[in-house]
Amino acid sequence: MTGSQDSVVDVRSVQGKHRPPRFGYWQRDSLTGLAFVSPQVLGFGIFVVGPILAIAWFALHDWNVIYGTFDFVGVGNFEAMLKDRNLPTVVMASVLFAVGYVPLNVAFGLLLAFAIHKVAHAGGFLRTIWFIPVAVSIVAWAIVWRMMLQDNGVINGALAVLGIDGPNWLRDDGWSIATVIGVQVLKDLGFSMVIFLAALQNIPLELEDAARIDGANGRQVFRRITVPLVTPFIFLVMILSIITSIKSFALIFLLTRGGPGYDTTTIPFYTYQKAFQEFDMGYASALAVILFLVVMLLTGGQFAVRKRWVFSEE
Amino acid sequence: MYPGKRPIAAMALASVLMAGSTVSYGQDATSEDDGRRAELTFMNWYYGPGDEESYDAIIANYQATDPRLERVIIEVQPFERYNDVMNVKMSGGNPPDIAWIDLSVARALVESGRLRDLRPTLESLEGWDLDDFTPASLTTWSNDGGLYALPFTNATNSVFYNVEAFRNAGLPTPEEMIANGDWTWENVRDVAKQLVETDSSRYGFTLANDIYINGWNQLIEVWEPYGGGPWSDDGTMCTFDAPETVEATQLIHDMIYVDKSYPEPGVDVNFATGDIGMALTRPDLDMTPVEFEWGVVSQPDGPLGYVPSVAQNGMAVFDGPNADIAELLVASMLSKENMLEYPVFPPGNRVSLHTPELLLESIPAMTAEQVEGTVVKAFESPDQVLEYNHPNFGPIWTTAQRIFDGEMWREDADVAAVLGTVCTEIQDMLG
Repeated sequence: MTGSQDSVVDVRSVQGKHRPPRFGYWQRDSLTGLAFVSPQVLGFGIFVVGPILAIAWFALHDWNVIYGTFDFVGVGNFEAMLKDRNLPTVVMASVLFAVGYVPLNVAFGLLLAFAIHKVAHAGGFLRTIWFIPVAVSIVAWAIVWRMMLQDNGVINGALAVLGIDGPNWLRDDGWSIATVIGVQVLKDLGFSMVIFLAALQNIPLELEDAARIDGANGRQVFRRITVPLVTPFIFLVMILSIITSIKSFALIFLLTRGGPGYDTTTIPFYTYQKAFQEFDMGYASALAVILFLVVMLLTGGQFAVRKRWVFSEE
Repeated sequence: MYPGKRPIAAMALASVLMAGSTVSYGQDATSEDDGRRAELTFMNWYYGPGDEESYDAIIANYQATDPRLERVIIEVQPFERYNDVMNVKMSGGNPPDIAWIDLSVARALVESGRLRDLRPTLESLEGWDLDDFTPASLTTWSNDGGLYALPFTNATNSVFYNVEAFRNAGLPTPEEMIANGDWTWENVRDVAKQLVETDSSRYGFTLANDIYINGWNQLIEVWEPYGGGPWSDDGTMCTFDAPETVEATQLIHDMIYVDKSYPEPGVDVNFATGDIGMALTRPDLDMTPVEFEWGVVSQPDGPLGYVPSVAQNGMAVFDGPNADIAELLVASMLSKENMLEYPVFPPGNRVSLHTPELLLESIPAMTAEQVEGTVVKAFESPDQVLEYNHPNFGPIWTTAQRIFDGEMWREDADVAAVLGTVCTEIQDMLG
């Protein structure tokens, strides 16, 4: 009995010296992973989720920053949107911007990437040239374009040499929104091009060779082989372009200040005006909430229909 | 401009050499050392030579007399986004202790209850002469007997002109027109048109403070001499559509679209390039790059005669735990002695600073006669008007600006109808 008790004590003693780990292998693995991502999660919570929740809370209040009033109005700010006579024009400007910007950015990005991909000897140089605008500050980009697009600017000066009377790019009806879209596309085209170029460089040459042996011409190879294989990247660029178009602000602020009239006043710019020029933070927050929901809806919609046209997705 | 934050303490040593010449109210009033070590923020939109020299020395001197002020953080924000930043700071419950206040938000802030009433402190300080500010100049910054900011600048505009362009066109100069009693807005239009028609300059006239970007309120220069304006004196009735406002606006519209003598929207012009015959702008315009012969005169007369506009900016103290120290520091910054020490344009809003000698010192590009004929004339004018401000200025400005931007600045605009639309849209906001 004594001996048996001694042996028990010995075993416990051994167990104490070589205690099994508190967490199992998988638990430890998970905890390590969590430890690695926790700074990101924490940052996301504080700087993304927190402000989104705060904006949603502010949207339920009548908040005048100067007078310091902060009164709960429920859905009052959202009801006010229905009576806001400027909002339909602002929404239309946003839609026009998106409808113009997204296809141009995707189509020209793909065509540019395809062209550069085919010109192997000058690819690096052309890639660099087209990517420079992406690296340039949006403020510098806008200021330079603003100067060039003046009625008496360089572009109209060059057109005049050719005998063409150029429009007042940033002021004339129709031209102002088209000009802003064009300047934004030129700024972002390099980014789309780089994504598409990476996609094109991953297409196995055997597929194109096989198609050519089967008698496909260049256009058919592009339509039947190249485009389907880069559809996941088209999907990616499209989503990024939609988000960029919907939240565009800086270029509009610097080029047109939303004018003439409301022609280039997109929802983000209108939100800025309400918040910082009219001091109506509650209404501006409500606009931001709607904008957030629209972005989520469009992105979610894209994901929902992606399997219908993103052919090569696994 | 010097955007960003800059601790003053690091420069205090350099400034202290100059500090002996400044006056401080740090040891006055209630500045017994109560153990506090305050750090104040001072937000402004310009801290260039002159201001920097002046404020640094005053702050250093104040620190020498009031141990409670540990340091002052100067935060300079570009004017274009100054109100935005102020807005964010207020919404975050963290406004600056001391701030410059732009006239456009003056009434709203003065009535907001966020600013300290400076009057009791200023009146309690021995030698601090509040009477040096005319009562009229304090009106915008006062509410119910309280004084919520001090107008620390007083600016007016002048008309610069290209002498060579006038000579080429064979036109009498503005000085000669003034001598003949012909310096009116109607004649300015005629002269501007002739400057263009004779190819003496690309454009005849411009209000350099861009009416398209900076807004309709820049039209004050022509509206007021015509007896027009945006709203009634008590701010409750829209007068955008008053006949006087319509007539004055029509004049500018005709210059743009009929005479083609005023730059249309989307055209950048600069007096220094020689593209413009006349430019109504700040009198301290940098004339260094101007290579042609130039002159400068006062604003033209309208049917009401000479009615110059005057711009002010205020310096205010936000409510906070160290507001009492901030008030004394502001009193030091804006004391007569300190403002006299560093003449820069625009001059402080003190009658004693508006002498020809001091103004000449602050605008070195001008001759004594030119300063007399422009800035002094404007400051001494009994008919001067303050730039537009209203408690609800933000929404009113953006609403009217959209209408001007989208409907007024078009060749086919019906000026009276557009101004009528403005009134329809903003009347409820005037309340």
